[in-house]
Amino acid sequence: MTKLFFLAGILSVFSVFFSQLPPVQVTDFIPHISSNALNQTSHYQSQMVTQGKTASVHSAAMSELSNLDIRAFWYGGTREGAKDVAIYSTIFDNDTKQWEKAEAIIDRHDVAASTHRYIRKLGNPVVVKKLDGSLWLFYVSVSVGGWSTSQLNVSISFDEGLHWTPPKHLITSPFFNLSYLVKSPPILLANGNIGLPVYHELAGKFSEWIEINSDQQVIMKHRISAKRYAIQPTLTPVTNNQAISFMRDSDEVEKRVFMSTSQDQGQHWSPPEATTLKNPNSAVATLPISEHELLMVLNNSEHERDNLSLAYSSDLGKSWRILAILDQPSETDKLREKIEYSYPYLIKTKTGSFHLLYTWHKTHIKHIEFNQTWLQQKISTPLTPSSI
Amino acid sequence: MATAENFYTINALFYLSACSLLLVWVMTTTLGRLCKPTWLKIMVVVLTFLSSFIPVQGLLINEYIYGFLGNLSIPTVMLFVVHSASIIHGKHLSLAEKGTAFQLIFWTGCFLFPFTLGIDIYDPYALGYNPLGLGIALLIAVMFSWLLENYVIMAAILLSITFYTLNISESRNLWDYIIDPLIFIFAIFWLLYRVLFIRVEKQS
Repeated sequence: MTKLFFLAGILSVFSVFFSQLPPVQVTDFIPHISSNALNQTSHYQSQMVTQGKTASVHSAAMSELSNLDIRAFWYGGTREGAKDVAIYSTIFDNDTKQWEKAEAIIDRHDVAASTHRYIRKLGNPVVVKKLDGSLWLFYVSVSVGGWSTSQLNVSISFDEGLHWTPPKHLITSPFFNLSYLVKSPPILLANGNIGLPVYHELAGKFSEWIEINSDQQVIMKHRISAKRYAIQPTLTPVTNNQAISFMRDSDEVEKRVFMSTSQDQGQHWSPPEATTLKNPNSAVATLPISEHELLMVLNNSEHERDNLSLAYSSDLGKSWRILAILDQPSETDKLREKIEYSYPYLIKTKTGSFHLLYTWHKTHIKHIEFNQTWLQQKISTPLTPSSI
Repeated sequence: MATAENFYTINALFYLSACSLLLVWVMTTTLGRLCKPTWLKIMVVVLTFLSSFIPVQGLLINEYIYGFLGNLSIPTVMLFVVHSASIIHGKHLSLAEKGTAFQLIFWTGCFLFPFTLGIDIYDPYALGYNPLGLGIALLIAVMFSWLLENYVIMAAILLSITFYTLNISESRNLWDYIIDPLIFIFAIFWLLYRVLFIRVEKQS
């Protein structure tokens, strides 16, 4: 009798468990290729986003708002990893072409209070705008140790960045949930969920992408690379089921940007292969501009992050050509202790403009805006030293 | 600014209590030989548990531990509960039951964690998101442990499945309910100790 009771109990627990399992879904990508506006005069401008409010800034991200303005995010403080580091945000007015004054939107105390954890530092925000207009901001937090022990958090804004929901912790690993970081823009999936490219750098150094549902929970993950050589993946859908990922060379053997492709909605990825593009162990940003054309912003060097270049591919990443040097040290810059152009974040807006944010010597976030006409001129003109 | 959410959900309290029980385990193990009378041991258990809810610089003591350990798995919480309960009522689980359970945890961890840390493109952790196969494997393990009358494994799996169904954790991955590195490390040390202890005992 007791045995039957036990058996009934076991079967009841498992019946409820099996009945509540989520359906197995394979979700399509949404290729994001916006319209081109070629009937414009060539436009290229650059300016600082930050005004020196914090001594150290890094890792910018941005999203276009409904009124065509742009909201940018980055982390800043007295130094990288300091306890006063917060996530900052400001708006680029698309009419005046000026950046407004930045303000801190999330600090470590906000995250600690909401997630009930000790938080030592924050970093690396990335953002995506969902179809309902909400902004989803992902960023890392560290409780113990360095960046390699980072964990992911998310906050949502339903008023385009004026107010944010309490930070929520994302669980991505069974190993104390350690070492998941973000760098590249998230993407929208056809089922309304978010695809977030992530990377691990504790024991291995590898890339994955995770799917996040509307309850802010990770519901699937797919590995892009393994072992210890390719991190900070980009996730670029080119059709409903095909995507390309480009990764930073983290072991500095090949000194090249790595590339991997998927033909099945990102479930399986080809082994990462070195492209012809140089890489000094630094992040890249990519953007599709047509079904076969890609742009990439990168440090075109094997050793230093001392130039920022724009590369172009007309065959989905198989071959590349450098179109322009976007930034390089001036004579004054060369006197600096640290020369660094890094963490590029590239988007294209509904107006057809391209916007690039990047870390400028770790002291400022810099913004470059160019339009399709400027880009077409670069594509049709070979690069010369005085071409920009 | 982001709105800070200061209230404690049942889920958060559950995992903070698990961290408190870890403190209890550390304290009672450290002070075990000093605290001979049972009433003193019970006092240590109760006082350590309660004091872990004292705020220090804006955070509870157990929130500092939670920041490092995160959500502990259900078998780990069970281990701490059983340890604290054994101090109070003086009864312990049989070595055979514990040995089988720790062996299962050891081999599961050996399978899961190296892949999780990136040794290969294959990632078994992903199986935990749509855990039909993992669920069937656990059902088989429960049936075997029931037939072999190993009620520790049976209870650990049934509770893990129940807590997963109740969505008690921030995670929707079944692996996070059935194993964590803390119990894996504990299993390694426990099994090593048993192997070495038995070998020394046999030699003597």
